[in-house]
Parts: sequence; structure tokens; C-alpha cells
Amino acid sequence: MKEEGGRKFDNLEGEKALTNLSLRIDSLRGELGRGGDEGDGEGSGEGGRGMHGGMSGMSLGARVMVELLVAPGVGGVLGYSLDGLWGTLPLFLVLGVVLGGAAGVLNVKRLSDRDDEKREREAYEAGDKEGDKGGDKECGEGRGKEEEWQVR
Amino acid sequence: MAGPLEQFEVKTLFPLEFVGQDVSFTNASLWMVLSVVFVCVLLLGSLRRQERDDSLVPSAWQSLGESLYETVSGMVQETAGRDGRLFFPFIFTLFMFILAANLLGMIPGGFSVTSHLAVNFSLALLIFVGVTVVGFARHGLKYFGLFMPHGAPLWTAVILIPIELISYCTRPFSLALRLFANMTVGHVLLKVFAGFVVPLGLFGIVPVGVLVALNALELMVAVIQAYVFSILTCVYLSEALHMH
Repeated sequence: MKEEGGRKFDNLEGEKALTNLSLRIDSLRGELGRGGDEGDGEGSGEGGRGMHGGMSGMSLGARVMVELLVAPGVGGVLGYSLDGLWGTLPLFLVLGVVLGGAAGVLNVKRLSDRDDEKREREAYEAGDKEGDKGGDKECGEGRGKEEEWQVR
Repeated sequence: MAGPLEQFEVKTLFPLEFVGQDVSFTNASLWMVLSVVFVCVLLLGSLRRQERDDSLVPSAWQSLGESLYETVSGMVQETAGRDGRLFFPFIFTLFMFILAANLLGMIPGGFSVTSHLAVNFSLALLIFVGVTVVGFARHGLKYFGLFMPHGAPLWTAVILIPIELISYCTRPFSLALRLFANMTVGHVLLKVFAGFVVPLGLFGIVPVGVLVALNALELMVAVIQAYVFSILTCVYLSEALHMH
């Protein structure tokens, strides 16, 4: 790109404009403080922070319910088919339903573990952002570098 | 007055037969095709060159495409890690398809494909088999170690292995059922409330208000369920890749 004379000028101008834009965004972000940051997170990826707010409680509840209902069912079906195979009708069916119930509880426990982990990481990242902009988290570092590159 | 479950009826549009199997083009097929077309138009449109070649501010369409990309890319990276990036195209396709199917189902008179267990379960089974294959391809027979948690005493294996096995086999069912239940319940509820409007006469305004709120809720559920479906795929993938 740099070899072409006419193009170079365009690029330079574009880069300057880009620098201005990123500086402006930075300054506006600074003005908005944390409020702006949150809005950004919700806009670009509702998964990050948005999922925990408000209505997500209902969807989490639905997930828990489905886990708890499905697991004994699957266990029961597995047990029943084993019974059909070996002709021990009630034994594996009962065992399957009971173990399935345990599996359901285990799945719910894992679900809540994941949620806790995520919340902790988010809290950590939020704290990190307030203190030092270039965090040691991968994504934070990447973004920092990108901004640096743009300013340069 | 149509019953609340009539909207889920699969009707044959063009009867087709292939090697003795009924492969007719149904309204479900039609809406799946529409979803794919919708996603293609949306994403190809966001790639369109802008009138001003050097304009720095992306068009609204481009921003939409970018934010969709970034949402899923962030989700894959965060949940499945760096090597999960390999599966990004699949997850993105999955997310966009379910999102489009859910949202198109919200059009009055439309058909929500994801309220059919056959569709959801096919997707879930594909993911389940795919994830298992990835796990075995990456870890070989060590992948069976997934069924025995680390640090548990050996004698507990008698109980733990069946539990873990069942928990593993639950995945496609819970994945499919969750999406199915959410979509079906929402649409039935909408229909039931819509049925109150005319018989109530002047007071029909009350269910209309409820319907407006329900529509908003359903739109949100459509997005959230597409997101949940794909994030759970990422979680399963992460387990297959890193075994923990």
C-alpha cells in the first residue's frame, strides 16, 4: 500500500482521522466513566454482562428445571433398555431413575459453579479496568494493544 | 377460532418422495429455508461496500453484522478458549440459524421451526456426536476419564461413573428440550391471550396490553435461547477440548 503515491496520502489522512476518532472515543469514554463502559458491553455482546441482569433469572430457572426433569428421564430410559436387554425389569429402571436424579443435581451444581466463576471473573475484570487499564487478562491486553496501534 | 396448538401443525406444501421415504417440502422446511435466506441476506448485506469507500463510520448494517460476529466470537473465546476458535464457524452458523428461526417465528402467521423437537433434537444430536468425536480425536481413550472425576476415591466409581454417564447422555435432551419448551410455551401463551381479546369486548384492551408485553418478552426469549443454545455448545466443546 505504501508504494502507491496517491493511495499513501489517502491512507495518511485516513489514519489521522482514525487517530482522532479513537482519541475522541477514549475521551468520551473517560467522561462517561463506568456508565459508558457498561453500555458498550451490553451493546456489543449481551452475553458478557447483560445475561446476569434482571430477566436472566427466569431463563436460569428454566435451565435448572429442564436439567432436573430430563436427567431422571434419560436415566430411566437407559435403565429400561438395559432391563429389556437382560430381562431384569424393575432393577435398572429404578436404578437409572435414581442415578439420573443424582446426575440432574450434579448438572445443576455445575451450572451454578460456572455462573459463580463467571461472576467472579467479571468482578475481577471490572476492578481491573478501574485500576489499571492494561490488565493481565488476554482480552484486555489485546484491546490495549489495538488501541495503542491505532493511536500510533 | 383456531386452537392454541394449531400453529405448530406441520403441513405438506409440495409432496415429494425419495427412495420410498416421505421427504415432502413442508411449512417447516419453508421456514427453515427462510431462516437461512434471512441470515445470508443479513450477513452479505453487512459485507456490502459502502458508497464512500473511505468512510470511517460503519453503516448500521455493517455494525449489526460486526456486533453479531463479536458477540459469538467473544463467547467462543471466553467459553471454549483459544483452540475453540477452530469451531467458531460452526457455532456462529448455529447461533444465527436458531436466532433467525426464533425471530421469524415471531412474525404473526409465521411458523417457529424451533418449537419442534425434531428440529432441535437433530441439532442437539449433531452437536452431541460432534463433541464426542472431537473429544475422542483429541484425547483418545483418555476421554473416558471424563466419567471419573479427579481425586474421587476408587470405590465411588461404582456410583460416579453411571451418574457421569447419564449426565453426559442428558446433554442432547436438555439442549433440545430447553429450546423447544421456551419457544412452545411462549407461542401457546400468545395464542391463548389473543383468544381472550375478541370475546371480552371492550375489556379486550387488557389482554392486548398483556400481548404487547408478552411479545417483547418473547423477542427477548428468542434471542436468549439462541444464545444459551450456542453457549452450551461451547461449554460442551470446551469440556471435550480440555477435559475438565
